[in-house]
Amino acid sequence: MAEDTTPPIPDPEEIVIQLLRVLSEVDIEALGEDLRQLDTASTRRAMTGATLLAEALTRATLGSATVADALGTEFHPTPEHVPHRERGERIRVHDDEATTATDSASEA
Amino acid sequence: MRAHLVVGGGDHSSAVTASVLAGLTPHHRVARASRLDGPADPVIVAIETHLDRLLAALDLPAPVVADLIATVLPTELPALLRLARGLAQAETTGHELVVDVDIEVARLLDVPQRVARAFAAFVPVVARWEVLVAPEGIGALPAPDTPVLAALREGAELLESLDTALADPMTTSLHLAAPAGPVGAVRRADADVLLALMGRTLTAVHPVSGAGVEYLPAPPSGPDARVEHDDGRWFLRIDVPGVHAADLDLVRHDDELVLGCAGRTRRVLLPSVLRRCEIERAGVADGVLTLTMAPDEAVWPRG
Repeated sequence: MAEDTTPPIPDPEEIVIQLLRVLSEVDIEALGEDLRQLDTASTRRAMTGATLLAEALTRATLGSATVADALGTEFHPTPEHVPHRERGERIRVHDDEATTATDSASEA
Repeated sequence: MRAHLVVGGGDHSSAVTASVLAGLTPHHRVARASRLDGPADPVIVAIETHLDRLLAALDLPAPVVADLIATVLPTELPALLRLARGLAQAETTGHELVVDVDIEVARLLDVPQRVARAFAAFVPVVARWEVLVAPEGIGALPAPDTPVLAALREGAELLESLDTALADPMTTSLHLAAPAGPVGAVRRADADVLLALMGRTLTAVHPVSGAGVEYLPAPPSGPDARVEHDDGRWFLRIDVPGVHAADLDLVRHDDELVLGCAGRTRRVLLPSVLRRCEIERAGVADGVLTLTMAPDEAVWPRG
């Protein structure tokens, strides 16, 4: 049987640290010059990418154990998905006509 | 009364429509809807175009795309929207509308609520597409144009108003003119069950021979679910004429009840005051479903 070679997913804080290391090595001035050459569509995609990266960093930072400890918050695991067809509470319907008939019979 | 609908698709439906019309003409201003196909409804055009682009972007096989579109936009939808627009217009102009409805009766009574609900559910998804589905420039899914959102809102509103009108015997009279034999029997049964779940009955059943029209009694109360409060308990009463407890399935999904009978279902939105209540008991007597509900302490407002 082949061994599972998939590397384990690192902790959020590890990802944040790695991303910040990568970003710190980016030559911002050269990148700015490159961005000026971009067409509108690519610029918009770059903006979307930057927004997503910022969101990912924020989420990872706030989700890290260090920040959670500092804030005193507790993270709960994501609730498991419940299929739609299994949702809902089934309610028993009583036959009140039988009750009414019995009541009126006993009253009579 | 705003509309008189002849349903059932029997050969005598034209004659029944004519007799309904003849009964009205001396006293009312009457508009008779045309059965001819008009131009494509703008609601369908906007939604269908976007849905087609969306499913094409997923690179699904064409027959699968066609099946999915047919599910979201059923073939009866153009006729249903035309009927809904006709009803709205008749209300504005003060006319009585007489229509020989060329839609399978089960679909006429079932589809408006389902599609209205689906359209309404997609409104917040389309309005927040960038957040919920895909930001611009990410992936291949095309963002919906503004007309799609307007079309979903308009479609939901039209179909909701049609469903409300169909459920109200004071607004619509329903004449069944079904063919003789098993097909007619099935159409009658479909109509009876679906209308019972809507809290009403057919107005009249017209046999093929023309003689012996059966007029059905309308339930004494209105179509809406009624809320009563007594001694810390809330009672919700829903008309289900002719349905017995053993034949009724009841399921609560959050703020909605799903009534089921003989394989047909209908959703009833709980009145806002009852959404924070738990159902203690449900019972049926004399064609009325009564739910006894008590406040759920976990979510009931304090103070």
